[in-house]
Amino acid sequence: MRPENRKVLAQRFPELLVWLESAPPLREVGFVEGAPHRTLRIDGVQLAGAFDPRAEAELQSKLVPQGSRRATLYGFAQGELARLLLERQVLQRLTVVILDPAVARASFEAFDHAGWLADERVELACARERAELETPFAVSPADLALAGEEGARLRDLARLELATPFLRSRLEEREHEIAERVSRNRDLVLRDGDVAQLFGLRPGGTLWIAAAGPSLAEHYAKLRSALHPLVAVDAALRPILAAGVTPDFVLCIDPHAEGVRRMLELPAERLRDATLVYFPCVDPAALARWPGRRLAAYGREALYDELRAALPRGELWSSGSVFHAAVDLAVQMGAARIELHGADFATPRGASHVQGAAWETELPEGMLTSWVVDGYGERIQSVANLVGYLRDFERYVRSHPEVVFVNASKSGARIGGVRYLEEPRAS
Amino acid sequence: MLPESERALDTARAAARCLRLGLETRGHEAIARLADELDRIPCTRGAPIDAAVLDAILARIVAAQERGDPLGLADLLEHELGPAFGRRIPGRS
Repeated sequence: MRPENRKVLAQRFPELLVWLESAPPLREVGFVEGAPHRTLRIDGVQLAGAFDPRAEAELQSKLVPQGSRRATLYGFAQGELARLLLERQVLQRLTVVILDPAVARASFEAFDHAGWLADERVELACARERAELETPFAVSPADLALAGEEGARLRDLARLELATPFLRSRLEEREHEIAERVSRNRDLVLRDGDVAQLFGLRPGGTLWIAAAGPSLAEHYAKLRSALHPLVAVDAALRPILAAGVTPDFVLCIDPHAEGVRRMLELPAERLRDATLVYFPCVDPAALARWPGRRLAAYGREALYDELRAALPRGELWSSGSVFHAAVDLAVQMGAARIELHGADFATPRGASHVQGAAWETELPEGMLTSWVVDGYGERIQSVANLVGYLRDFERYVRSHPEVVFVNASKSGARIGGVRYLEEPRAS
Repeated sequence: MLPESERALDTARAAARCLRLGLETRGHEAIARLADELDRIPCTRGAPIDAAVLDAILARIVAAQERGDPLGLADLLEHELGPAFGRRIPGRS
């Protein structure tokens, strides 16, 4: 490490210096050859733009509003963005979160960071000390790409937060169509039951959830035993029926008409005793075909406000995944223990869904831009939306300490706050 | 420059901007759009494109995508693709 950096780190952040120096070595570190600006490349990833790093930092700094008194930086790359933000007189506190100690050390070895490190407004932190994202913030995209296990959660939260306006605008494009469908379902909601009639029905009980991840197939024998009530997501319905498993409840919140048709168009005789819990955004024709009991529920979106006011029904939480709504139903039913099957949030063995699911597909390499750590401690590939759902679910789990969440499989993503079947409960 | 080329370069710049901001999904979607737009450029109408140079840059773009190098990718899109269309890089002689 360059002596000027070590000196400031030793003075201001001695514990972090120890952490940085004990980080494992990186595989490949070098400068980008022929670059107009000195640019470090770590494991194939450039820390900064090689042509105009100042302009790049100026662009990145725009994520922090000009008048902000405090800001957080996830990753510091080669220091340009931290220096730029500190030029703002109004800024009183800049928290710089290190997402990977080995990457940070490589940068401290290659560049002079002493100036910004010595600024009293700077607080240097490691990712494991931070459970949640702090706003306003800016990111070093290379540090996100190079984040290790300790920084993975913050990396995902930052990506999710950055993507949110884009995802919202995408939804808004379809809002009119979905609102119209909600309106068309008014009569059905009026006639059908209310999901709230299930709330509190299983106090202290165990409920099983069948999600549609590839690992669901590991549990068919267990699920056939029907020891506990089973809540299945729509996408899992076809494969579990094929495996001889009949769910007690099926959740459907998907506004995609063709997708719902593919998931729910199944032999009626196996489903007569199953209850469909749905959001009114679901295609009315698909709902009308359901052979058993139907119960309406609302999400928390404004989309349902008008209907909610006219026809009050129970609410289920979801940040976009039907799995969330299925788990929230189990929680609101009063479950003390919820066992998850097929809740992978990733693509173990390259598959997106369990075999036989309507959406089952092998995802192209280009889509697998994220990774998570599985139950065995190995990195497995995932896609951005699944990782977003995972992080939202982890927050949900934290907000329900009264429930024991158990993951039946280690093949998928390790879910913070959720233990595995064989692990004893932490005291 | 052909309007098709201008459009492709605008898309490349938009993709680079997203990648520099950490807006990865948007960046990769813009790159997918760029690939379509590049396909539509009629090379036979005398567009100043050196096909070999363009192919080489596209191969590097794909490689940068595969290794998950957002800023290397942004540099290629913003500072190397333009010259393949005969456009000089701002600030470089």
